[in-house]
Amino acid sequence: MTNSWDGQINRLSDQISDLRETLESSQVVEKEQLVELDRARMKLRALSADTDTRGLSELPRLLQSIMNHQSMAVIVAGESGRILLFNAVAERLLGEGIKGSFDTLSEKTSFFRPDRTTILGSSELPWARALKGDDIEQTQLFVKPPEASEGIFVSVSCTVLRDHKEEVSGAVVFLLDNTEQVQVEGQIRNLCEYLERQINNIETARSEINLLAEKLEKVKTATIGFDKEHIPIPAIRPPVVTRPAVNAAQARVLVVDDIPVNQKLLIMHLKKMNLEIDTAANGKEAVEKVMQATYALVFMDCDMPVMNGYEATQEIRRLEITSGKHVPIVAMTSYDREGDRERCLSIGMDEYLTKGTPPKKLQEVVQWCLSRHKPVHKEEAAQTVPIVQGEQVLDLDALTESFGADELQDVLRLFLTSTTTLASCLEFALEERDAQSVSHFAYSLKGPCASIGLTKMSDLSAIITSDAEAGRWEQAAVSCEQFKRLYSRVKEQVSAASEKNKWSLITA
Amino acid sequence: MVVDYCVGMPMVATPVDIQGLQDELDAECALELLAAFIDDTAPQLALLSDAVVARDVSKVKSVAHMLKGCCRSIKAQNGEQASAKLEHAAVTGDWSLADEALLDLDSRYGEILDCITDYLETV
Repeated sequence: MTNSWDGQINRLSDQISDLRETLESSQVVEKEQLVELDRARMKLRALSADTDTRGLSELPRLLQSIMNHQSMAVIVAGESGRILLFNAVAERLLGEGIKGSFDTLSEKTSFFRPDRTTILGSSELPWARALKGDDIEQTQLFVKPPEASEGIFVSVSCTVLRDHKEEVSGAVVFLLDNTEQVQVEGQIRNLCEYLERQINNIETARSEINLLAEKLEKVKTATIGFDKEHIPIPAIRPPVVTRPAVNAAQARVLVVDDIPVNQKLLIMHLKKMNLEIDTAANGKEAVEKVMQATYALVFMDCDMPVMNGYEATQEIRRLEITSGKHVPIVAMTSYDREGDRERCLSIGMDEYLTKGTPPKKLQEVVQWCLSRHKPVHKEEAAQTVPIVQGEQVLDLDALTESFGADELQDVLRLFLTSTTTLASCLEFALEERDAQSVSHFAYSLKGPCASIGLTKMSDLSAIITSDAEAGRWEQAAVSCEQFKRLYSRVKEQVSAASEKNKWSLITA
Repeated sequence: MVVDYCVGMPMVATPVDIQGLQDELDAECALELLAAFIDDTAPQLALLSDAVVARDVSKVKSVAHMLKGCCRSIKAQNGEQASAKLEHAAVTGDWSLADEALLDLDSRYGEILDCITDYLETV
């Protein structure tokens, strides 16, 4: 299975690059608007510098072009700050307060720095500085007129007008409403920061997943190989301390195989364990039988006509979401290629055996599966801790017994942080409809969930994988939502246990 | 995906490890199993030959896979290896290997049948 961590990071990085390009484009648009502003200011300066009467005759035409501008606000003010002329855009942007002076404008309209909270006094405003002789190239303000419910961002430029003695005689103030650009830039910057945080989280998650795998491996009871990068295989058999060992004689198993000789061999071995045995010749029959009866274990051949073992397993797991049951399914197959085991487990099978497995190994697997199964009786259900149908709980007592109290805190902390990141990556991959990445992240969730007894979440991971691979994106999304709901329940449970036991490291 | 057809698995002298079967099961069960093997596999061999001639990848792969499992179930290691080789040939589309593997499988299957027949005569 290919590693999609780098793919995920590359995807996030590409998003950041795209957003930065959008940001640059928006800044280009803003710059284009400012070019007009500069042109107007240059004309004014030229007029102001012109000492003969030709400059004066140009004044009406210039004023007309400036004052009639449809997007640029213009205010012409005298040396005392009295507002002599303003156009319709200025009145729209700044409100009624514009009919007076800059001082009355400041009384009626609030001006803030771009942070939208630091209010500016009248002497700090750009036109006040312009009337003292400073040309203001461009500065940003947030403006809140009296009758407006929301403010706007404006870009302000001021051109000083001087008399023949070079003394300040007035100023022309230009304002451009760039609220939209500012908001878009802000959103893009926030998104880039968020994505960069996601990348950091992924890097952290990778190392935490490896650490989690090491801790889970220490407690494993079966000699199963471990791929730390993928954690595909349950490292431990989740002990079920609260459930008494099931008498094999009470247990019914289902053998699913289309080849009589293979079926016969397995039945011969299983009969020695005093099990009751039913058979099915294909996956479709197997699904029907599983829905009609309660089996302690299903031995599933993979390659069968009508419906193969993979499809049958997926269907059984899908039906179990609503039934609340979980029947252990063991692959019995002649497939022994590299990756076959992982494929079986990722589909939702609990164990994998090849045909011709020695009886001793077969017996171990049967005992393990039977120890997880308890026939549900009505009177027993009433005495147990109430569990809402379909909900998932951690067996913290059993986990404490397996790991020890101190180690358990570490395991749970690592599990929570890595699962949160993996689930986030999984959601992202689902949105992108990237089957390979969905498969990778769901697969990475499956192992740890199974290892600490969260079988329903483990099953959902397998279902999400198969739905994504089959292009059933809506169904995959539904399963992902179910996974998140169950995970929320687990986090609440850990949080409650953490508070009760005064654990210091667990944050759900 | 490459099928690892039992690379490294040595050829064994005995076509069927009947003793091993009897150790795992019992004589009666071993007998029953061997009889079932013949019933299940004989018709498949005929189909297999036609499928190889027709270059039917799906059929060859399916039947070879089934024969591999059956041979493994009765501890017929040589037969299992020959079936695996044919399965591999089908998966990789190597028809010259498939032709060679079919001949090999025919030969191994014949040995298996002889071995089982000999055993049945002693029971």
